[in-house]
Amino acid sequence: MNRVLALALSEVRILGRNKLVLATALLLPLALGAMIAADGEDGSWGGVVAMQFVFVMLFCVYATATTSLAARRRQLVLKRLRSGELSDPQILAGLLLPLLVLAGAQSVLLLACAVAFGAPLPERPLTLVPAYVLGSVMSASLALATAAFTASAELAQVTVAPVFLAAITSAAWALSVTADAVTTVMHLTPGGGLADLVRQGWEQGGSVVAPAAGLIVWTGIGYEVSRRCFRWEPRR
Amino acid sequence: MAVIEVTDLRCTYGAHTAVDGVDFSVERGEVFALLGANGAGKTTTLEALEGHHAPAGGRVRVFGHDPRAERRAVRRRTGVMLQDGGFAGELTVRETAELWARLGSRAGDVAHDLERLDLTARADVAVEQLSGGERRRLEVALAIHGSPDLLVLDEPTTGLDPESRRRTWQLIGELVDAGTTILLTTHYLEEAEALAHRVAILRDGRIVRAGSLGDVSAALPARISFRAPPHPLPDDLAALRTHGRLGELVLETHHLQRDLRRLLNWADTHDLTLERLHARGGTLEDAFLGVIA
Repeated sequence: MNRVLALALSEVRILGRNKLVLATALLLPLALGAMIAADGEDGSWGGVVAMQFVFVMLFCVYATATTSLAARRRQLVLKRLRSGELSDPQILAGLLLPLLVLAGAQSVLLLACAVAFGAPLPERPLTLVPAYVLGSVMSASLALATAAFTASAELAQVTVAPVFLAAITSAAWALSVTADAVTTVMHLTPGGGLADLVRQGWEQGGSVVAPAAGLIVWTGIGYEVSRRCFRWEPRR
Repeated sequence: MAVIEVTDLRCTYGAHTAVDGVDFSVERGEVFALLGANGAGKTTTLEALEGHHAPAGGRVRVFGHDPRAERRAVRRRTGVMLQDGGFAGELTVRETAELWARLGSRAGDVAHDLERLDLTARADVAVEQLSGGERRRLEVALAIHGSPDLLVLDEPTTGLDPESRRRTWQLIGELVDAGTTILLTTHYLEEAEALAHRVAILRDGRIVRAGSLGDVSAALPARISFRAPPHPLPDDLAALRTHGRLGELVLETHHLQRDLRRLLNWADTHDLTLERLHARGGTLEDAFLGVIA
């Protein structure tokens, strides 16, 4: 565990020195969240917070992890790490841990901002814990899968687009209906399950099992694609 | 028990066979060099030993372990210098070395590692600002951290200036004296001659010659070279002539002492001075050029 932490801390150090990535991971979701929150008074606060949460996971974990993994592979850093004593899961954990922690901190910050903007306190706050855990793991898993098809950091701007759009669109779709009207199909979309789970933390709703299952399914898809296709060094 | 045992190793990239039935072993404390032209299969062989490449066939054992299935057991005793491993350019040399030390289980002094590779003055410089040679030295510094039992070096001195190369050779010599086993690949034949106890020459994924330096060059003819004299050579010596350039004659013989004596006697008889006269046995370079041609 100490080794994973050592790798994670070095990633934090690198992240701190890479201003562009840092700004993307920190400021973009906050700015988008603020814009959404500014409209919050007109609609359901659960929906507003859920959309902010989806943005945090997409920007801070999914897009940043995809970019970072593609860049590290291109730089042959992944290959070097694999020549050491860490196992493959330990390497990935070390590289992704800072992003997961950052996403957690941002989520808390956004929720606090929402309350400051006038949102009520969440009715089922414990539901936000599995939403964060499953949402961040799903985002990391999908990032690994996307990185498998991303040759460079520059290309990541293109390759993240399909999942990005699908997640935002499906989250908006699930949030367009009331909590008790969300269908199984909505839960099985990449953003629908996450958005509904967060909304259920804020407002009383239906079962958390269905949206959680949707997140687990997408985590499994990401895992399976990355298991088959992820490469640790550039193609020869 | 041998530190490395490779039996009938075969590695493929799609339809391309990069390594085709390679066998060798490396004993404890030995320096073993894999030689070959680009694409001969050296790096792929090393990658199979490091567990990076799944063999299509054959068997690889390092310290008696399968390097893919038992990676940790192998890595904790092995220092690896990749031919093209990368660094996070944002970290400094010291941060990179300290991180690498923390990621492994071998205890060692990072400052001492950097000092041995003459990197102390560059310790606080970002890795992305290092020259190619400095990056290679940093690679060596990471590989030797904690004095591993086995050191795998993929072209360790490529890109180094002559002074740095000599210092690296000296360092490798010190490690060998301390009992480290070393497997290296190199393009520099003088490096193999300076360091290796045994060599294997690869061509098209197969070992075409292997053994001690003496073994590899023993079957090769010796060479006598000298500036072409004004008199034609006698028939028996002229028959040994292989080629010449810029007025130089080269004779190849498996009886160096006998034929050199005949040449010198002939020169005395005709009162000739053989200018730029050189005589030497077969070399690793001769063996290498002979098998890769």
